[in-house]
Amino acid sequence: MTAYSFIRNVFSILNAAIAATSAVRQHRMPETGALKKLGIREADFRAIQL
Amino acid sequence: MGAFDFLMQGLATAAEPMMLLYALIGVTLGTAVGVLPGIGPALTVALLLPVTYRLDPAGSLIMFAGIYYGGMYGGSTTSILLNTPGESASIITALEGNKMARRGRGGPALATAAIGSFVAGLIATLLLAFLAPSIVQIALKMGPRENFALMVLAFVTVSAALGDSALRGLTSLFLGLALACVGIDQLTGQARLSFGVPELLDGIEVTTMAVAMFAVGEALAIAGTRVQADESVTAVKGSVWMSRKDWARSWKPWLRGTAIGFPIGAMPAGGAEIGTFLSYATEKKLSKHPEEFGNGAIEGVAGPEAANNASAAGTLVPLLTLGLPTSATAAIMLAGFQQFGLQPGPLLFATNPTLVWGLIASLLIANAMLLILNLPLIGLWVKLLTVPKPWLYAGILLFATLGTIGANPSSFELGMLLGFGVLGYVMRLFGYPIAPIVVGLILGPMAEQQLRRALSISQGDWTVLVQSPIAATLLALAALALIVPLILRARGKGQVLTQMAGDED
Repeated sequence: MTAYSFIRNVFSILNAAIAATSAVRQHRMPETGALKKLGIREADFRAIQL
Repeated sequence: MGAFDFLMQGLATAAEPMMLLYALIGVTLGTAVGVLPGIGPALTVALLLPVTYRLDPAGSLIMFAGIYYGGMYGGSTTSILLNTPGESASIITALEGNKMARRGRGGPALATAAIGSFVAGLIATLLLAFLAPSIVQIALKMGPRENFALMVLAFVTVSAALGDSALRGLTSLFLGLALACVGIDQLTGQARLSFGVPELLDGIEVTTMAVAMFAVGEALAIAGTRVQADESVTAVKGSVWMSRKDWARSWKPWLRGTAIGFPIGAMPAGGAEIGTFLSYATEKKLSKHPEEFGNGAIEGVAGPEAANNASAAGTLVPLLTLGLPTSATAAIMLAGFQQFGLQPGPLLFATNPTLVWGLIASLLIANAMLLILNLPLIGLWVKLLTVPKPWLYAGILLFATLGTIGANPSSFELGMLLGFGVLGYVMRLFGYPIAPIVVGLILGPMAEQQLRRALSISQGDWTVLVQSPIAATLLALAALALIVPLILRARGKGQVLTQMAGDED
């Protein structure tokens, strides 16, 4: 992995974390893409009683 | 005197019997509200604001900080045992923690969460203590234009950087800024936006606004949400203690969680949740047992819980050193300082070191109290969940009303409480963030004062705002914080980078 792709990956994970945070603060389910990037299974997240 | 000496002095202050009592009340209340789903530290501190204004400032602030730390601790209990996070920063804990509990490993899950929170809280508080003096030294060199630029950065990041819609965030912010203009102009003595109402000449009371938005609005919102929760508690089987293997698998995630949570908490618009998501993703990537994630991996509890607590101390860095709130709870704590006539920031370290260092040192004591309170009393905390929800909501509304009337005995104030409470509910209903309106109301007058000072010094020349390298950098960062999320949303609702990195994988 090059330094450039590493930085891009870090930012994409940060972006996914921000998107997921934004969703949970609004009591909504985060988007599938964001959860996938964070390594979270959608079904597991859906099971949490938000 | 160095940071260590100040911290020792602070410990002496925080160890006074009354201060210990305030800290104990704070952490107990904080743990209770952390356990109760839907009620967070922001709501609790807001509720207590009007009640505590006649108390000792140091004691009240120590209690507020205890509530903040306690809320972060308590949230994990219901996440693990009920799969129902007590507050949003504990959502990630539920992913692995509840799976562990269902497999009969609830005890180690609770233990790693509590010990991880303790370790993270301890390290992060020490980081706060040793970083704060350096930041204060830099902050003392900042003039009006730099301070104004810093507040603009805070406004933009709190309202536009995080959230679904920058427009909604900015609307909420400008509503707060408009409300901040109500009252007599400090410079000219001219009444602004008071519409001839004498009660408005003093401006909008920040405490009333905070209680209305965070207590009344939140209580109405959670009461109005249909909950179909299966609130069956998973019994804690076996030992509560962690095995040698659990310790070996937990200590690195605790440290990594702290390293992630602390800076994220200190970032404007950071908040504890981002750190927990990042910590979970990191632990899954670094784990030797990635297959266990989703089935009850202890690293998935240890890391996010540490990140969660470290972020609470991180939030206090900009609050205490620069007077900048980076989260809703920090905004309300700032209102708490202001109700005692104190302004957090570099000058507070010089004018009131006993209070500031007492507060920082009390966090260390509160942290130890929380570890003792949480694990042995787990059964007691779970019993709190049997309190009927309608009683809880009614209690919040009653307490908010009595507290506000007690602090400002006027029917006009009560009307404002209810009016802003309904506004808070409607804003939640339509997805408008609450933090920007409160931050706007609190920081608005200060930003205006700094801007006017800078313009007075430059004799009305606006370019002075970008002539200082620090101010120019801060304003450029604010512009980036506004523009970058807009571009990302426009190019596929923020999924562009995710897809790019996905392609790379």
